[in-house]
Amino acid sequence: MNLTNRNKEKLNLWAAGIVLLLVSVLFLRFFNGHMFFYQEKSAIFFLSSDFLKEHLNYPGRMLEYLGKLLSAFYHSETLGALLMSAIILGSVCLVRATVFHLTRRNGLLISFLVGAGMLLLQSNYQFAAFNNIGILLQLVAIYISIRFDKGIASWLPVALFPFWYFLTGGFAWLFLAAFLVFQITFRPAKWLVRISIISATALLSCFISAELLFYQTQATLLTYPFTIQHTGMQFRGSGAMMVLIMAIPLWAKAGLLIPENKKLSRWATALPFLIILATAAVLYHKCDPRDREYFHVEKLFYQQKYEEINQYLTKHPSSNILTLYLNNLALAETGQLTERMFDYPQAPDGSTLILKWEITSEVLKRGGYFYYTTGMVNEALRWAYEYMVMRGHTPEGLKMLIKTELINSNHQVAEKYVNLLEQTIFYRREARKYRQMLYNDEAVASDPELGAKRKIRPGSDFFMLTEAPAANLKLLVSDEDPARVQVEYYLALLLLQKDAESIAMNLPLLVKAGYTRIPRHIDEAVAIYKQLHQADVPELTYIRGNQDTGQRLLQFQQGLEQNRSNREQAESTLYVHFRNTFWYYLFFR
Amino acid sequence: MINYRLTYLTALLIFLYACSDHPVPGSGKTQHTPLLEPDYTGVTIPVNIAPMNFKIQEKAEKYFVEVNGTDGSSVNISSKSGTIAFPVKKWQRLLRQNQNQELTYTIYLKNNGEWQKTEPFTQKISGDPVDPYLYYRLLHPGYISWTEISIKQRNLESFREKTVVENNVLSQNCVNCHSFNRENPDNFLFHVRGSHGGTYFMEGDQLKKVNLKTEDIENGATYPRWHPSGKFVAFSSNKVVQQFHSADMKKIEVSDLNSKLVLYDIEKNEIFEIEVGNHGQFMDTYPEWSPCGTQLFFCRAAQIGEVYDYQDIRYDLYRASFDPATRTFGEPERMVDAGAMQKSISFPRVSPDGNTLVFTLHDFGCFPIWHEEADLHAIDLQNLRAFELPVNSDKTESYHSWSSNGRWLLFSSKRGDGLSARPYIAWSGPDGQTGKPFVLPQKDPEFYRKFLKTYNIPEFATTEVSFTPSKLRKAAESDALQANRKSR
Repeated sequence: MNLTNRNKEKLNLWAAGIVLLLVSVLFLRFFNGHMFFYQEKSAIFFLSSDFLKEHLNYPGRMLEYLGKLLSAFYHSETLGALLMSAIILGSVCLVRATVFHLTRRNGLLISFLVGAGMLLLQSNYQFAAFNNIGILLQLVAIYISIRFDKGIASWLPVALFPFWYFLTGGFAWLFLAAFLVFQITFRPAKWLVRISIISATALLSCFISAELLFYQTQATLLTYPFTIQHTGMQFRGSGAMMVLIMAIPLWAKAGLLIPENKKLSRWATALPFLIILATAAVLYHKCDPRDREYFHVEKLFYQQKYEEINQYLTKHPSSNILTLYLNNLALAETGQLTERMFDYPQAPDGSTLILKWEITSEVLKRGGYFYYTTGMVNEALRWAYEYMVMRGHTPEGLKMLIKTELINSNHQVAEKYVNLLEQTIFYRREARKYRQMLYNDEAVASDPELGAKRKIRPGSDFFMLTEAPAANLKLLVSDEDPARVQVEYYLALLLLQKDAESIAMNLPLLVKAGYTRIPRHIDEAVAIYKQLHQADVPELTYIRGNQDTGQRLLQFQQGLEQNRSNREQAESTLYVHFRNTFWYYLFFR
Repeated sequence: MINYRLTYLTALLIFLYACSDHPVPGSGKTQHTPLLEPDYTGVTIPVNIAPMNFKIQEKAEKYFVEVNGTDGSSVNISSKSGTIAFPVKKWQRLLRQNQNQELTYTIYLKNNGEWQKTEPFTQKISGDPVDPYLYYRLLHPGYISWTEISIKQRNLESFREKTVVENNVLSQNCVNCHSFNRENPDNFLFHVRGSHGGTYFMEGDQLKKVNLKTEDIENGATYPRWHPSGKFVAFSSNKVVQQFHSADMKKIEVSDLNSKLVLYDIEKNEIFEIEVGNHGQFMDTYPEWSPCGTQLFFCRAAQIGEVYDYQDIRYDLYRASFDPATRTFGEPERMVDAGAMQKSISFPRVSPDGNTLVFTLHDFGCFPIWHEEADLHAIDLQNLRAFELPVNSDKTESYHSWSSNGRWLLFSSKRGDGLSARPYIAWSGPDGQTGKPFVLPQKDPEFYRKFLKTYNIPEFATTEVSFTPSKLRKAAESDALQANRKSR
C-alpha cells in the first residue's frame, strides 16, 4: 500500500468513526434517552470498598460492578450517550486494529458491523450496560493476545485466563473462543500446546469454581453476568454478535468481510457509511415512542411534577396501564382524581388505580407508590423493602426506604440508608437533605412531603390485605378523620367498579375529608344513581355539586335514547361531549 | 550527597517523632469514659475471643489507648480516627497472660495539642473458653421475599467468616432452621424449601436429603431439636400465617394456626407425632431436650378457632418425660403459666448442666422476633424459680443458645437499630450470675452500623462444618429419602 492509499484509508476510518459516533450519540441521546433513565433507576453504584468487595464474590461480578458504575453516569442522558458511544467506537477501533494486525488490510467492514451490532443491541432499553463493556473488554483481550503472540507474552493469556474469567465471567468465553480460533487458523509456534493448556485451564477453572469455591449453580458460574433477560431478550442479535466477534481471526484468514485493499473501490470505501446509514434506518424503525412516553411519565413522577404528567398525557394519550396508574397517582396527589380521572382511559379491573402484589415483576418497583400516596406508609415501606431484597438497591427504592423510615421515626434504620445514599455519585444532595432530618422529628414533620404523609398515616392499626388492596382503602376511610387523598382514592375505586350506590351512600366522607364542593365525577355518579333508582342519598349541608350536572345528564340520556338501537353509534355520538364523564365510562367501558 | 542524607535523616526523625506521639505522665484528666462503639466496657470476655476492636465516639485530634493486664503486660494503640484495632497475636497473648484477671483500658484524647486522660474501664477475662465457632443465618430482616440466604460459620478466635450453605446453589430456595446436637457439628441439619425441598442431615461427611412430610404430618417439620443421643430429632410442625400491620411499628405478625410436635427417628427413618395429650385442643411448639435426654420441654397454647384475636394466643412452658428405648412420652406438666401473667413463652433452652432453662418472654404469640418487649428470662430447674436475666434492652431479645461448657449464653438482640438482630454473648456464672453482654466483635468496629442483614439463629459449635458447594449441589439434586410413618 502506498502512502496515499494509507492516508486515504485513515481518512476514511476517521470520517466513518466520527459519523458513527455522531449517529450513536444523537440516537442514544434524543431517540433512546429513556434507556439511560431506565437503567440508571434499575441499579445503583456506591463509592465504597464494601461495595467493591461485594462484587468480588464469584466470576463475572466485577463486570456487573463496572456496569453499575457506567449506569450511574446515565443520570445525565448526554453523558450516558457519550460514554456508551465511546465504548462502541472503541470496540470498532479494536476490531479494526486486530484485523489490521492479522491481515494488513483495513477491516473497516467487519469493524463497523461490530459497532453497528452493538448500537442496535443497545437500542433495547433492557440491554444492560455491562454487555457492551463485556464485549469491549474481550476485544481488548483478543487484540492483546493476537498482537503479542510471540515469546513469553504469547503465554500470558494462557496463564491469566482464570483471572480473566473471574473478572469478566461468562464473557471470558468470547475471548477464549476467539483465542482458540486464532491459534487454530494462524497456527503460531506451539499453538497446539497453547490451546491444550488454555482449554485445560478453562475447564479446571470451571471445575474448581463449581466444586470447591462458589455457592452458585453451574449455569450461573458458566454464564454470569450474561443472561438473555439482560439483553432485552435479544437472543439472536446477541448470538450473532458473539459469533461475529469470536470468528474475527477466521474472517481474517478467509478474507471474508475483509476486502483486500487493492480492491478498494469507491463503493468499498463507502461501505462503513452504508452500514451506518442502514443502522440509522433500522434504529429509527425500532424506536418505540410508547417506551419513551412511559419513561418520560415515570421520570416526571419521580420528580413529583404531577401537573406536568397530566398535561403530558393530555397531549400524548396512552393506554399503558403503568402510565395511567402513575397519572392517577399524580391526580390524587394534586386532589383532582375524582374530578378528572375520566379525562384519561381507565381499566375497569382497577389496575390503573392499584397494582396488585407481584413479587417478581416490575410491578413491585412501582406498586408501593399507591400506599405511599394514600398514607399507608408501612405498606409502602414493605413494597420498597421487598423490591430491595429481590432486585437490590435502586436510587428511588433507597429514597423510599429512607422516607418511610423517617416518617415512622425509625431513625437508626433510616440512617443506614442515608449512609448508603451518601455513597452514590449523583444523590448526595438528597442524602444531605435526609441527614438533616435524622433524629429530628420536628424536621420530618415540617417537611412538606414527609410531614404530610406522616399526618395521614392510618389512625388505627389493621392487617393489610395484600390480595384485596381495595379493602384496605375501606378500612382507611372508616377512620374518624380520613384524609382527602384517601377519600379520593376510595371513591375513585368505587367509580371504576361502577358502584354508584356506594358512592352515593359515602357522600358524608366528603364532608369529613373537608371538601368544599362535590367533585365532578362523584356528582355525575350520584346524579345517575338518583335518576336510575329514584333513591334518596345522604343530604350534605355544606357542599354542593355543579349546577349543570342534571342538565348534562339529561343531554347524555337523550343521546342514548336517540341511538337506542345502535350501541356503537351511541358510543361514537356521545364520545364527542361525554367521553370524559362517569356516565360514558358506565355505559361503554 | 550529604544534603540528601540529611534530608532523609530529618524526614525519618520527623516520622519517628510523629509515630511516637503519645501521652506523657501528668496528662490532664477528665472524669468520664468516652462512649465506645460497640460498648465493651465492664464486660466479661472469654480467654479465646477475637480482638475486641472498638471506635471511640468522641471527637479528638488523636487517640491513644493503653490496655494493662493485671500481670503487668500491656498493649498500646494509637489512632487518628478513633478506631482501636488490636493486632491479633498481641491480643491473644494479652488474654492468655491475664485469664481470670482483668484488663484495664485507659483512653487518652488529644485536643488542641494537649493529651487528656479519661476515666479507665475494665474487662474481666474468664478462663472458660467459648466454643470456637459460631453459626448463623444471614438474611434481610424483611417480610416474605428473599434472594440470597446463607448459613455462615464465624471463627470466634479470629475474624474469619466462611460460608457453609448458600441458597444460590439451591436455586435460591429458602434455607432455614440449621441445628446442631449440643454444639456438635457431626449432628447437623437444616431445611431447604421449594424445588430442592427437604431436610438435609449431615451423615459422616455426606449430606442426606430427607422428606419428613407424610400423610400424618401435612405441615412438615419446622423447628428442630436434636436428642442428645443423636438418634432422634424433635420438630414442631406448624401451620403459619404472616400478616402486616398498617400502623403499628411492628413490621410483621407471625402466628401459628395450628401446630404439634413430631419425632424423627434417624436410624429407623420414621417420623410420628409426639403423644403429649394434644388431641387437637392445643398448639405445641419449640421442643427442647434435657441434657440427659429423658425430658422434653415445649411451649403450649390453646388451639385457636376460626375466629381469634392473635393477641390472645399465649404459650406456657411444659415438660414431659421421654423413654428413648420405647420412644414414648409421659404426661405433660405445666412448668410456667405465662398466660396467667398475660405473657407468652418461646425458645426454651436448657443449659448443658441441666440446671437452668432460658426462654424468651413476650406479650403474645410464638414469634418474638418482631416483638420489642421480648426479653430473656430463666428458670432454675432445681426449684422452678423464674427470673429475668440482666441482659435485656428495650428492644427485642429472642433466639438464644448455650456454649458447650455452659459458661456463655449467646442470644440475638435488636438493640442496635430495632430491625436487624446481632449476636450478643454474655458470661454465665456457675452461681447463676450473668455478665454484661457484648456484641460479636468485628474487625471493623463500625461494621454493625453499616450491615443491613440480620443474624438469625446464632448457635455455638465446637468444630467446623466442612461442606463444599458440590456436596450441597449433589445433595440438592438427589432424590429425597421419604421418611416413613411409625411402624406398628
